[in-house]
Amino acid sequence: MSSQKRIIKYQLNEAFKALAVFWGILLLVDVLGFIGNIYYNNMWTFGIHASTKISIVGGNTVAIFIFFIVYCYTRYYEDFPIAICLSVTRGDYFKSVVLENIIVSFFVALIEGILLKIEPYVISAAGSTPLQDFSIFNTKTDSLIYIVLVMFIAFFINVSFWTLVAALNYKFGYRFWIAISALFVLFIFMLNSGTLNFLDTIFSKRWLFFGVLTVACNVASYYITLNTNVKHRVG
Amino acid sequence: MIEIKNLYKSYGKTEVLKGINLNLEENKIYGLLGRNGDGKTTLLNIISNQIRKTSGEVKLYGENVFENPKQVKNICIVKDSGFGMEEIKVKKIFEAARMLYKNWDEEYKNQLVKEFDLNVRKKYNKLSRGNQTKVGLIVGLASRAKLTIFDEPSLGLDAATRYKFYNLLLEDFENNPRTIIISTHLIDEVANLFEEVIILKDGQVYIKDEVANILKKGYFLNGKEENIIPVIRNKNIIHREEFGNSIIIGIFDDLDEREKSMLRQNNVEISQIPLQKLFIYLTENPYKGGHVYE
Repeated sequence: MSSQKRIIKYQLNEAFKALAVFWGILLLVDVLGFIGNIYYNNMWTFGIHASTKISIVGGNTVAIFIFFIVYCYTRYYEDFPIAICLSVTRGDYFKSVVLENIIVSFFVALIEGILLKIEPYVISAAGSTPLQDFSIFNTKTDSLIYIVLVMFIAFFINVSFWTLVAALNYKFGYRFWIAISALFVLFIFMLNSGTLNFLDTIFSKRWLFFGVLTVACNVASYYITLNTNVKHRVG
Repeated sequence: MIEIKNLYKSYGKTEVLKGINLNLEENKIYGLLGRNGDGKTTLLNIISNQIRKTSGEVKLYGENVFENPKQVKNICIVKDSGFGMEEIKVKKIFEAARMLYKNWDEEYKNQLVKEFDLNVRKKYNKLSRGNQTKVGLIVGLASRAKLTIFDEPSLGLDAATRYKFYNLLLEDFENNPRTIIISTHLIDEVANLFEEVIILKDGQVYIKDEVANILKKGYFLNGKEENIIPVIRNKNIIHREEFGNSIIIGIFDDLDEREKSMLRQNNVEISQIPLQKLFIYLTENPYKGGHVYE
C-alpha cells in the first residue's frame, strides 16, 4: 500500500470514529426532540419552526456546522503533527484531507438528507405540521438526490473554509487572531462607509462566488500546509 | 544510501548549518555528536522531511527527500520533543504508527511495551519524561524503517532502561539490518554501538570516521613537559592539564611506534582518550579543534 493510501485510510478511520460518536449523540437528541414535542406540545417546541410548522432534523444543521469546525481544527492540531512525525509528506497529508472532506461532507449530507425526507411522515403521524421548505431545497418537492447534492455542496464549502482557517491558525498561532481582529475592524469600517456594496453583486451570483471561494480555500490551504512545520512544546 | 551536498539552513539571520557534506552507507549505526546549537537536530529534521532546508541537497537512494513520499516512507525519526501532539493516548500513537509505517511490526511493538512496562492507556502528556521517551523508542524500533533516527533517545531514562534499549537496538539491528543514526550526549554509553561517528562543529561536519580510527588518534600523554614536547611538536594538541611537575597532554593525531617508544623511554605514560572526553576536547574552547606547538 502506498503512503498516500495509508494516510487516507488512517484519516478516514479517525473521521468515521468521530462521525459515529457525533451521529450517535445527534440521533439521540433528535429522538428526544420528537418525544419532547409529543409530550410537551403546548409548552415547548423542539427543533426549528416557521409559524406552526416544525422540523427537528432541520435543527441538526447548526450542530453539523459546529462539528465541521471542530473536525477541521482536529485535523490540524492532532492529525497533522502525528502524520508528519510518522513520516507522511505534507503533500500526501493535504490530499488526504481534501478527499476526506469530500467523503465526510457527502456522508453527512446523505444521512441528513435521508432524515429530512423521513421526518415529515413522523411529524405528521405525531399530529403536527412538518416544515419542508428550507429555502435552498424543499423536502416535499425535491428528490433525495437533489437535497443530498445541495447539502453536500454547502457542507463542502463550509469544510473547505474551516480547513483554511485551521491551517492558518496552526501555522501562525496567536498572530492569526490578531490579523482576524484587524480584518474585522476594517470590515466594519468598510461596511459602514459603503465600500463593500459590490458584495451584493457578487452574492447575487452565489454559486459562482462559492465555487471560487471553495477552490481558493483549498489552494491556499495546500500551500500553507506545504510550508508548515510541526510545532513542539517548549521545555 | 544518504547523500548530503552543501546543505545550508538558516533561521532568520542565524545560520545553523553551513555547508554540510555527508555520505552515509546502508546498514550501519552512526553516532551524530555535537555541542548544543551545533545543528544536530536541525540536520536530522531536514533529513527526515520535518523542516525545509535553505539550500543544498539531501538524497536518499539517489532521490531528493523533501516531500518525496517514496523516500520519506523509508524514514522514521524519533524526536526528543515528542510527536507535536501531547493530548493523545499512547495506544493511539501506536495505532497511527501501525497504519502509517509499511514495515511496522505489531508483535514486536507488543513485546517492547511489555519489556518497557508501559501503560498504553495513559495520555502521552501524563507520562513521565522517561516513559515518553520509551514511547518514541518503541515507535523507532517497531517501525522497521530503512533509516531510523533517534534524536536524544535517552532523555529521562534511568541507567537500567538505557542499557536495555541499547541491547534491544543491537539485537534488532542484527536481525533486521538498517541504517540507524543516534544523536546523543551520553557518548561513552553508546560508543560501542557506533560504527561511525559524525561530529558537527559550528554547523559543519568536523569529523566523520570510524570509531576505531578516531580513538586511534586520541592519546593522553602523562609525564614531564620537557619529555613530551620534543616528540609532539607539530601534533594536534586538544587538551592540557598540569599537576605539579607533571603534565597531561591530550593529542588528536597519529603517533607512530618510534614516537611511542621515545615517550615511554622518557617515562611518559600513554593512554587512549575515551570517546566522550575526545569529543569534549575537540569541540570545547580554548583548544577548540586543537592547536599545534610552534
